[in-house]
Amino acid sequence: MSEVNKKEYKPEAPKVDTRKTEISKFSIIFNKLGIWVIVIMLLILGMIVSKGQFFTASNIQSILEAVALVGMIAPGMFFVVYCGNMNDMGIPSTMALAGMMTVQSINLGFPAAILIGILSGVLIGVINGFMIGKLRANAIIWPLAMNLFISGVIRVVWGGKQLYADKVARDTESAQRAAETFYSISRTYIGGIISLMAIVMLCMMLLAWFIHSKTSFGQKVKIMGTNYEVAKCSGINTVKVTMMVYIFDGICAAIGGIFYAALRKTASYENGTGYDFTALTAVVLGGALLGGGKGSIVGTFGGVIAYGILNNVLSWIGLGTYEKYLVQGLVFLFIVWLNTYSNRKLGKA
Amino acid sequence: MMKKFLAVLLCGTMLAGTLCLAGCGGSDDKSDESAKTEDAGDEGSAEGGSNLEESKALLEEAIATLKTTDNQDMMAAGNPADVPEAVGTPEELEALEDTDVDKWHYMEYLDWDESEDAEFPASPADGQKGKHVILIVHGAHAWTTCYSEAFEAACEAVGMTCDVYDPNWDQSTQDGYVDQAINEQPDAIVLIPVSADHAAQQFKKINDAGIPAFCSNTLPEASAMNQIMAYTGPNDWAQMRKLASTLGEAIDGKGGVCYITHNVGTSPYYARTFGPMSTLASEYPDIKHLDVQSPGFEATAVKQVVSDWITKYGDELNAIVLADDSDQAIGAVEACKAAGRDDIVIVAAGISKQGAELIQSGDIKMASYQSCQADAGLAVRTVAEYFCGEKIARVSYLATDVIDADNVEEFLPCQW
Amino acid sequence: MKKIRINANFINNNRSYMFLALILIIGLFMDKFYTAFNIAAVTGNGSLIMWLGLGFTVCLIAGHFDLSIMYMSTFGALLCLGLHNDQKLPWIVCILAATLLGCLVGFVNGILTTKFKINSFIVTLGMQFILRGGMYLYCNGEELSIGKDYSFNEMLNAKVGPLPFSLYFVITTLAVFFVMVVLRYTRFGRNIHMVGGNLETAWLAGVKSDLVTTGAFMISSASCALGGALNGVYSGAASVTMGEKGISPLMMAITATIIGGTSLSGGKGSVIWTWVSLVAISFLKSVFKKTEMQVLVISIILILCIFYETLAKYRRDKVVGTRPNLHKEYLKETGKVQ
Repeated sequence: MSEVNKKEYKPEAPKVDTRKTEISKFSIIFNKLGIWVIVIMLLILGMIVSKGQFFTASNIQSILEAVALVGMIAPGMFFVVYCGNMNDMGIPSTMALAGMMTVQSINLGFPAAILIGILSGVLIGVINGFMIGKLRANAIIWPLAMNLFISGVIRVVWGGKQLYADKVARDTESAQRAAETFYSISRTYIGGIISLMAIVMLCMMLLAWFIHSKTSFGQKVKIMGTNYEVAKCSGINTVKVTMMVYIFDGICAAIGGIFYAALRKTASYENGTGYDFTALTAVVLGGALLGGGKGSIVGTFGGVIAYGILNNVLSWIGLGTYEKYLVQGLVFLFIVWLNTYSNRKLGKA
Repeated sequence: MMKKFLAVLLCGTMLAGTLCLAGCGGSDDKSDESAKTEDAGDEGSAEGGSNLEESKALLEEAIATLKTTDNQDMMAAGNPADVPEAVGTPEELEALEDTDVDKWHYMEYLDWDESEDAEFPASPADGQKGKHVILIVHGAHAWTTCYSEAFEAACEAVGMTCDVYDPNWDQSTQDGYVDQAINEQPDAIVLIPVSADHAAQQFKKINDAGIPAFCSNTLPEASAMNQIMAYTGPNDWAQMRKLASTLGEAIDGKGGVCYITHNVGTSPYYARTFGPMSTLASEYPDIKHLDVQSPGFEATAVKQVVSDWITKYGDELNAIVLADDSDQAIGAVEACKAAGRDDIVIVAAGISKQGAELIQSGDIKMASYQSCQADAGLAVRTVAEYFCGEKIARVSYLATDVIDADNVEEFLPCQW
Repeated sequence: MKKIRINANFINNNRSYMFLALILIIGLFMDKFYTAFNIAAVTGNGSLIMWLGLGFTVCLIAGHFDLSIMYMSTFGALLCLGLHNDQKLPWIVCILAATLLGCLVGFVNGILTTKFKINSFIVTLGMQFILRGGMYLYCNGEELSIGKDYSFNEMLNAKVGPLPFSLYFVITTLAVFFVMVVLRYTRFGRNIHMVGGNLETAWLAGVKSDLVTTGAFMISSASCALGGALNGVYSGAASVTMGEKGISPLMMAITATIIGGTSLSGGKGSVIWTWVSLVAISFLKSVFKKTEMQVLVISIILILCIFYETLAKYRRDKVVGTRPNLHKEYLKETGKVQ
């Protein structure tokens, strides 16, 4: 027999696994706290560059107001992303339509006009929800097509004009008062300090947080976002859930659109341009993954706040409008990379 | 089976819908066409001379009767340009500081080299009645709506037909419309260029096609005047300088001023930012120019910029110059109110409905008066005079004024 | 010989051609539609979105979204004109520089997507901001124009031989066909399809998927930068706000890609389809003069296409996992089929 067989079997020393197993502390911290780490860092940076004037009431107020509109839309966008539908590119036209409808129906009185504005958002939500939930249309392209379609309809119906509430309102006292009230909603300060817009934003964030973490609906959305087929097989009515998500999204966008129209004092087809990407930016900064099923409302709120603080800090540093774009883009990509990186290190994505 | 049915349905609907829509569009065009040919027929049957006389009578009547909504003359004659001697060549002036009045000479006074003028199509000299004009505006805005309605009304009054194209502030779309307009072969094209720099190419195209080109409202680059029959519009620079002088007085010639600009690159961007800046710098050297920002026309964005300024500069900030008195003014006023700074003097170029309201309530100190309807009226008047064979001024400006709380009543109700 | 059968599939696969045919038929009823001037102007003005559509389609075939194309083309135009005005470089060098910048941006996009594993939608969204800031910094937000140097501009505007097309459009068309050939007949092109269709399978089959994806991004950005640079010369000026107002070229590029029939999940599609739909959209702008109508008509056609695709998929999904013959029997029993 050959030599080989005679060779005595010697147990080899167990191989040492040289691969890095420990996860950096930063990944863990970042994964827990998410965007709030960045927010705190930005706050410290803001304190340094503004020589202590950062925490004055007026500055905080201006930050809150600047992000109020995005903050109203972001919860809706968050739920869309969360349930695995990538994003909702139909937000601008929903905002425009809600503003248009509100202003157009201002003669019916202020509450009715607001209701009609919100209902138009609900209508778009229902259509989107039916197409995406029931017929499984592509979730990126369908809202995009709706966006184009509705903006086309608005342009054709109103002839590309801008609507002024006090011009639309009939010459009666009640109608004029309704128009006045409509204008004032974006200019009211509760207790003279905090604006109504910021309060509405906080309320919507709270509501979304409650839905997301305290109700079974939130759990259903999470399962759906993580794995659609599993959700379907485990008896979740996916059509209904998707429908609700899009209706919530429509309501958020409509409220944002109404406030926007009131702030601008005009409603026109171009209201809300760019808010789809801004809201998505905030949601993604907040740690949501476009694949769905990941992220939280607390994170989204952090993303919204971070977006505002970044802008504020950059103007403290003295950057112009153009330089801001560049820095915003870089910071955005960096934070998203941190998110992805820490998730991957922890095996969560 | 279902698939086939659906596909047929899809195609059928597409075909029917589009044909139907095209039918609507087509019929509109045809009615215009037929109107045009009828007019042309009238023209043909009538004597050339009588059409000219009729046209002149119509024009005079229109000038006498048409009023703007704020009760000014709509088709008042324009003021000729008053061009001082340039202190240097364009290259030399380009090197000066932004705050130097002389730097903007060529842009401000449309000081172009007349020896390089292109060959212009000769006037038919048979009256404007029955002529077809195409107006290409810059984009949808309340101002534009007001302008085009006034333009249509004025055209009707003097017996011209007109089409309005709206490219939505997009330069390449406007290029497309220029091509389409040339393809329609109208008697004249009135263009409000989206961008000052690009205007030269657009007007060259129109002029090369043998169609007289008129520029309205926004100032083109000076060299573009070689291709343009006539420019009519507000004297943006002069009115902003006037406004700046008044502003300088109001803040006693000291303090800090911030600027919010128009869309970067357009002629109002230069006129409404560097016009007041250079005037203030030359007349009140103590005034500090703190910052220039271009947040666009969104009330929220402007509000944020102004809030940031207020926290950053504090008491140093005394005045803000805005390029627009509607959305920008609202944003700026909101920010000042939120910070409790009613001492900041805000001035704006205008004048819109919102701006007038803000002046009445005292939130804006003053605004320049720029009549939108008279702008349209002046353009139509110039075109009509061209068709009548009269010699037209190459550059004519609207009357300017500064509006403040004392005289705002005279300019109400606002045009847009 | 292959027999052509007119059925739903045939119509669906050729819908871009039908769209074009439809517009051209409507054009027969329009005044001054089939003039050489109109055709040259319409196709020339529509060329920019054809470049954008080309880039977007290539990326989509590889399974990725490229949202940065619009700003990429504007940056290309600004860089080209800026280099020519300030550094007095010849046009060809300026255009090459713009294309190189496009390659670089595409490379960064690709690296961020493949190596850093960030979703391409997010990467290009961030790249949008960066490009926008970059070009504002490059030209201080001012407009750049070719000034009085009309030589190259007139060359691009001139008609080619007896054809009623401008040179710019002909270059665009040639580029589209070149990319089509690359995608269809080269190994690299087939790999792009494969990576888009199923990334894992492609990787298991030995395709260097990261490289291929980066390549697709580079083609996309480079073609947009090149197209933008040519468009800057063709139209004579470029400004930073190009396309931000009005009907966004990016939306038009996406719309045309979908109408053309390129699959959103990647792997299937053709740049020719997109190109044909974009030609149709350009002509459509000449049929409907008002922007409102253009938007409405384009969106209706887009919605119909998506609706059809969705319904077809919905019906297909319904029978997935069932035994088809049983399903047929069920349909027969319930009388839903004759």
